[in-house]
Amino acid sequence: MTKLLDTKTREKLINYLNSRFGIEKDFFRDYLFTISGHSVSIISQSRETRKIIEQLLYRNYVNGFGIELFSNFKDYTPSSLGFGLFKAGEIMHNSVTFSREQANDYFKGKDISSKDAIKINTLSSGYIICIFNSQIIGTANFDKQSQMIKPNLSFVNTKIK
Amino acid sequence: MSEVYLPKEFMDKYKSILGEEESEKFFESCKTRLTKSLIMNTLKGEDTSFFREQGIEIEQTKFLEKAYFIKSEVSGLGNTIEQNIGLFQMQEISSMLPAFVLNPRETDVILDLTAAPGNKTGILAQIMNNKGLIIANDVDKDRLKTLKFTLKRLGVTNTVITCQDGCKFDLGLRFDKILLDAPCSCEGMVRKKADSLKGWSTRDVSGKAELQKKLIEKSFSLLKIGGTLVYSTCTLSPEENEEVVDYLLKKNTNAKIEEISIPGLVHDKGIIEFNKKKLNPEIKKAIRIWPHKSDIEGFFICKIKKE
Repeated sequence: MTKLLDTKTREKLINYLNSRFGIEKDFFRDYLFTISGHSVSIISQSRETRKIIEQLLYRNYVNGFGIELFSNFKDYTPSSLGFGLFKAGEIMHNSVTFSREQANDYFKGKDISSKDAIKINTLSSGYIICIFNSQIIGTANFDKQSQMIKPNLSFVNTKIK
Repeated sequence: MSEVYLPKEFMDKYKSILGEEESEKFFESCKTRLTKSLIMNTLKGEDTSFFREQGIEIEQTKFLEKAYFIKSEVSGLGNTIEQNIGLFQMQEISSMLPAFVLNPRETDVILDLTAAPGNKTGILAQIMNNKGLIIANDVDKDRLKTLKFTLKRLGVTNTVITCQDGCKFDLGLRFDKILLDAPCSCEGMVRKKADSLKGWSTRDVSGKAELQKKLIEKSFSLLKIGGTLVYSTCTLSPEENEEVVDYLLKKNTNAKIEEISIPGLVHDKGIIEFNKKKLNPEIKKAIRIWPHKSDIEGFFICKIKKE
């Protein structure tokens, strides 16, 4: 069942996105956050559409909402496709810029060394954002010790599990 | 392209609609390969330099600013990084048109009743600049997975997805605009898939027409007064197109057909006489895209206002 995310968790997630990636808190002003299981999605809202969305949630008619931002909000697992919502210029830290070859490797689920990246924007261990040609292509897990970037793609994550 | 299969009954039907000479041109066009096409995703930018850099020749269409024909013989374009992240969408030109004909505003509440796989919903979201609200519905749960993936890839954030039988759809809401791209016999797809007419029969066409009548009636009932419904199919059978609209007009005196203007697109008017049946002359305002005239996929589009 999908419901509106409580204000406290919403703030927590926005703070995380701000501190981890530097995404302005104001970015989320016109979005509603919804939760289904551990998955958190956001949907554009206006005063008029908010009423309709709430009504649909209340009646439990909904199969999907807007765009998924976190596949698991508890450990801040981002949704790689969902993060394509942001513009590369909105990411202030924990991002890496790939060449075409590396970006292709990313989509094949291959691990990539951060030493080979075109540009690194202050990386610390944990989730990072991957950029190619000024576009966000997804997210990855970065290990500072080994300097390796592991794509956060569903088929890669399934293999790990 | 492997040999295209055109059933005899299908050919006889189009001979009676188009006449001997023109029907031959139509059958010949059915046997030619459809030029692939794409549309840029304005939610993520409009930069087409990638194609040039990769040596892919694209040509802007005369009637849709963000749509392009792919002139080079390329394979694997659907697996490029740019496609994976939703910078563009591979799609038939004809099937892009209904969303533009509906012309949603940023404040509208829209219903896309048979939305999967989501390409048209994606275009609606782009026109609306991810504002307003789109209810994207489909009865098939498996197809909803594709719809969700498409919308995520394109970065669509103004959509609620529902899974209801379109004939019984009811959320307790009325809509400003509705897109009904109805399930059909897909005759227009023959240039894409050579054996697509193998299962074609007049019985199938009649069956689809019955479903379409239920869907168009339901759609019209879900419109606000002053709202607009766009009915489209990728088929050319008058039973699934003009006759469906005629059925709606007979049952609803407040349904009015509006003119459609797509400058640069070669198309015919809706048919108003078929199988000795006279249809409402207003149906002339609908558009019928014949592959032998416009060199794109066969299609039918009609715009209906609720007064």
